[in-house]
Amino acid sequence: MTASAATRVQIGPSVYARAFDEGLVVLDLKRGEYFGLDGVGRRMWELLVDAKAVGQVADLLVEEYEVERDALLADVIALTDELLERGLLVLWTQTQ
Amino acid sequence: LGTLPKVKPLAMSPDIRWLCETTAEGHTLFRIGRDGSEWVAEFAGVGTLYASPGGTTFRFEATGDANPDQVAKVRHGLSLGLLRHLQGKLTLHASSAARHGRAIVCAGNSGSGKSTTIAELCARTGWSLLSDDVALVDSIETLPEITPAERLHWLLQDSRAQLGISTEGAPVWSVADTRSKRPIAPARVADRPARCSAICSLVFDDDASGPSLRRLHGSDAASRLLVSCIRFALDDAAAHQRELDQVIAVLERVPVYELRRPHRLQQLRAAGDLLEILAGDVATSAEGP
Repeated sequence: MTASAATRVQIGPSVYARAFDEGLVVLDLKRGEYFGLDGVGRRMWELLVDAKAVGQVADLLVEEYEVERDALLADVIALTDELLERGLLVLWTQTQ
Repeated sequence: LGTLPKVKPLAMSPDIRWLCETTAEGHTLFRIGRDGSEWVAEFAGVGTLYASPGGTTFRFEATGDANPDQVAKVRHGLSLGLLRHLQGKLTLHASSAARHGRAIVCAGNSGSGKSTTIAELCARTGWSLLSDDVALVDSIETLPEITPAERLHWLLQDSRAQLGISTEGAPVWSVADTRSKRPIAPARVADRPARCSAICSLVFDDDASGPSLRRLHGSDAASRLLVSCIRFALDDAAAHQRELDQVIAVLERVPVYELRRPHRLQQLRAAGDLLEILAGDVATSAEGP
């Protein structure tokens, strides 16, 4: 799927994430695979799993980084798509 | 494990479900599986470890014609690391040495020079061997320590020559031994745990003019540790989660570096010099002004 500015996500049911120092490690518990996110990628993850819509994440990051909003939105969408594809994030549902 | 002969299975249960294996030239070198609730690790040509789910009860069955030195190495090295994983403890596939109660750990892929680099340190004044193959990381939630695990270096002929170690007259178990790693006793073996000062990820780079050290941060540092973790309970999500917590705890307390150097063994001394400087620097830094 392709995320949009309105997409909201949450951490996958078999996923465990730990932030530390300047990084974040995301563990897929089913596959036993690790993924790393640093810097702005880590910040995007933190905002995304805080149930913020992709567009809101871009709005917040514009205030933190000197990047144009359109470019940031494209980056957040690209990361969200990749994380959804890997099952590390799932689409947000009210019941979960 | 280097070059081992084709796997010679013992009289194993046909019910073993193999979960992963390491192969070379079509032959299995090492594999992990389950037989019901029991964990099984087979080291080709050496023996097989059977362990209860919690790692508290186990048995190691050596292959009949195995080299006794290899059996001892596996029993006191990788097997110990596998059992510790079942017991909820962290073990890195790494060599380590201590001086003045502080440990330097060298991690890296097979063939990255872990044993040789630590042997270089142990040939110097004040250093003692903690481990050749498995670094036992304990007291993680306070100040991570490396517990002594092994009493021998395992070195290839060219490393022995570079370090000025002669094995002339030592017993040769098989023709293959003459071109394999051989056990070498260090001048000193650590007799107590040492606080972990730094973890170095070893990388060969033949484009480099000499050895260099670089501090690693974030997921780059995490990945170097995670690939070095010794795991037995491969399909246990709780064990994966616990291991990540332990690795993060280590990263929050111990700096991780990359030691990049060319393959040439003539550079070994310079690499050892860098590690000695690092050991001094991190010890000073940890103690504060």
